[in-house]
Parts: sequence; C-alpha cells; structure tokens
Amino acid sequence: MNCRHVQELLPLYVGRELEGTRAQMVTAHLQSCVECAGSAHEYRESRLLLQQFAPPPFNEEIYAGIRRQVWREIAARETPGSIAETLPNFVACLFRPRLRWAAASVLMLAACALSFYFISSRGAARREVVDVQPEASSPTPETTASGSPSIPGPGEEPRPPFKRTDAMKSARMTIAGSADDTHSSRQKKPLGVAAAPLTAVAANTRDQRPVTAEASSERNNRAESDVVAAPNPDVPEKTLRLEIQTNDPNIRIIWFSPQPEKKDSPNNFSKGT
Amino acid sequence: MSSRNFAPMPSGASNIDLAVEIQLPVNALTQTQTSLSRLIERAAAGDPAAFEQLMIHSQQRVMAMTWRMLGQEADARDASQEVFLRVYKYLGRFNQEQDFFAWLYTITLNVCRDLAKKRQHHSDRFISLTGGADAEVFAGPADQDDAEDAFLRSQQRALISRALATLPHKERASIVLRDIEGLPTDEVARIMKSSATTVRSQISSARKKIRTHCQLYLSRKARGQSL
Repeated sequence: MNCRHVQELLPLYVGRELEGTRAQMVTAHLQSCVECAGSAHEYRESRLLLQQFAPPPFNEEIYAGIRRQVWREIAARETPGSIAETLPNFVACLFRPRLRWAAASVLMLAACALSFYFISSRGAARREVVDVQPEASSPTPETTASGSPSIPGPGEEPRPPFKRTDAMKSARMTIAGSADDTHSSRQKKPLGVAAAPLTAVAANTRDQRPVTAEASSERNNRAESDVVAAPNPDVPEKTLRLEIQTNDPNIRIIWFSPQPEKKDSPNNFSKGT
Repeated sequence: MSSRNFAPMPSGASNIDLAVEIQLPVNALTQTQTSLSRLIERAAAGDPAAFEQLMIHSQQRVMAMTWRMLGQEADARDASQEVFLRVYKYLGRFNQEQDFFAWLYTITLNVCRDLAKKRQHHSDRFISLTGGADAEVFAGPADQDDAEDAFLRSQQRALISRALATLPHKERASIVLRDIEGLPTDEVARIMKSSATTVRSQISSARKKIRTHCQLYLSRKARGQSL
C-alpha cells in the first residue's frame, strides 16, 4: 500500500470506519512513513476540535421563549383565519417545489395527450382517403415512365387496382401531364407538384352516395374538399368518379373509372379544367 | 421495571427479625424510553402538557444541532421553533417502533436545509484563514493567562464553525451527526435516508476539508506560537 492509497483512507481510518484488513495495512504503513503519520495526526487533531465543538450555553429563557413561540404559532394555525390570511398561504403552497414539479408534469402530460390526439385525428382523416380507392377497386390507369397516365385501349386487360402511394403519385403526375397535353398556355407556370394540395373526391354514381374523403397536405391550408355526388348523364352507371383539385384553382382533374364488375368495359378517363 | 432486592442482614442483628427493602432501578434507559413513548403517545393524542414535556425533553439536542448546522444563535432559535412545529404537526405519523431522536434529527436536518436555502448566507460568512477577520480572531490578548483558555475555546469554535460553513449541507450533516453527536454510521445513514457507503464517503470528504481548513491553526499550535 503506497502513500497515495493511505492518504485516501486516512479520513476513515481516524474514525475507525475501515474494516479490519485495510485498517491493519494502514497501521503498518503509518509505522514506517513519517509523512503519512503526520497527516494522520492532523486528522486526529481536527477531529478532536470538531468533537469539542459545543454550542455556547443557552439559558432557560431562550428555551422558554422558543416554547412560547411554538405554542403561539400552533394557536395561530389552529384558528381558522380569514380569506385574506389564508389565500397567501394557499398561493405560497402552490409554489412549493414538489407541487411545482407535479403541476409541470401534469401540464406536460396534458400537452402530450393533446398533441397525440391531434396527430392521430389527422392521420385518420388521411387514411380515409386512401381507403376509398381500394374500396372502389376500379382498374385504374397506370403511370408511365414519363409520369403521364396510360389509358388502356380496347381489348387490353384491366390494370390491377391502385395502391395508396401509386394512387397519389398518379394523381400528381396527371397534373403535370395535363399541363403538357391540353393547356400549353399554362405550361410555363410551375404547378409545384410536390407541394400541390390534393383534394381527392370519389363519388359512386351508381349509389348516388358520395364515397369521399379529403386528402389535404399538412403544409398547405389551401386544400379544400369537394364532394361531387350529382349524377352525370354522360357517365355510364357504376362508374367511380374521382376529382383532384390541384393548387391551381383553374385546374381540376376529374377521373372516371368503371366498377370492378364491368371488367370488360374500357376505362373512361377525362380531364377538365 | 424494578426488582426488589433484600439487603443482607446486619451482622449484629441476626436475631432481629428485620430486613431492609431496597428498590433498585433495573434499567434506567428502558424506563426513560418507556416514559418517552408514553409522552409521545399522549402528545400525539393532543395533550398539550405532554407536548410541552416533550419539547423540554428534546430542546437541548435540537438547539445544539441547529446551532451546529447553522452557526448562529438567532438562526438556531428560528430553526428549533420550526422543528417543534413540524413535530407537533407530524407526531401522529410517528411510528413508535422508530427511534424518536433519529426522527427528530431527520426533521431538524430538513428544517436546517430549508432555512439555509432561504437565507443563503452560510457561504457568505466564510472568510479565508490567511487574513481579514481571521487576523482579528487569532490576535488575542496572550498576556492574560486567565482568559486564555476561554479565548482559545472561542477561537476553536470560530474555526470549526467556519470550516463547517464551507461544507455542503449533506457533508455537514453527516460529519455533525457522526463526529459531534457521536452516532454510528448506520444510524447516520438512516437519519439521512441514505446508504452507509454514501455517508462514509461524505464523512471522508468532510474530514479532508476540515483538516485542510484547520491546517494553519494546527501547524501554529504544533509550533507553539501564540495565535
């Protein structure tokens, strides 16, 4: 055991708080090391000073004064005070550290619960839109590599139903494609496809009941939902109608798709502004 | 609680039918504890006289402890008063199987901590040993032999008081309970609601700091200089 270890153990050694083996080792070291023995002596002396640290004698008058004051306080606390007296105490009580922490925790929990509620309710709304398309389970046009939808020609086999991401992507690509095809005057105007607020409206014309939901971009509050449930005489029965509102209010994409039972009929696909 | 012992017959009174009955206390400590627990029971039941007796019984310990923790009489008085108010308030919750004075020490330490936080003047009172007010403390009338002892004691008291004032609350509480009140480490740990290892570490750290603080005084004392 070297001096450094002994110096670490000395404070406990002088108080006899070291267990047997280590205490013996320190004792053996102190017999051979003068410096550590001097340190041990200083520790003993300072401990002795500490043990002699007695308060000055307090006379009975001081004690009696304390007791009197205690009884006075007890009497004051037991007597119900007026609101003016109790209110500051109550307010002070609220600012005690424990209550302060408890209040902060409750507020945090409430904030977490509220944010969770809002996030989950928004998520549910988005899920509804996605669920509408598989419900219709219509064969839909596939997106080509260039981004424009491909319309199946007569005699072609119906396409597999949309998946969520495909549907959304297709809708966005349609916006770009329509600008290219029909609205050359608006070609130069960027549509901002990525940030385009999409409003997808699906209406089952057979039932005349809208099967609709809103898909709105979280970042854009301009998104609006429209329900188009009116029967269209030009559109054949059992056709799914899907309207997509782009961020340009002048461009709305309307997409008709036949119901799954009419697999042999070709899809109708039209664009409107 | 007491046994009846019969003293042996006086040698010269063998034919006298006389015996002296002496009543000896078997265990004074047990008796004291029993009377204390009765006092606590009565005080907890709302007996003001019992609570008054309880205060009288424990006032010296409480006052000494608060003075050692806070270092000033006025603070010690305020703290003692608050301790007794808390004892009055929470005596109903006191478990009779527990040691009353350990419980009292816990309350006292809590009160001292709260008061020290409120006043925040312990660290401000610390003055370096190398100069300033210490020069006044150590420059005493060395020629007055009769006053020397008292003066030396006051010096030591001031020294330790300042050394304790430099310690953090937990270290101060540990060292006061262990070295001044003389409680075993386990008991200190129980009072401080901590582990024995932690308390040992706090005690070790406190002793190192106090030794460092007292080193100048001790070295002068060793050299036999007048302080």
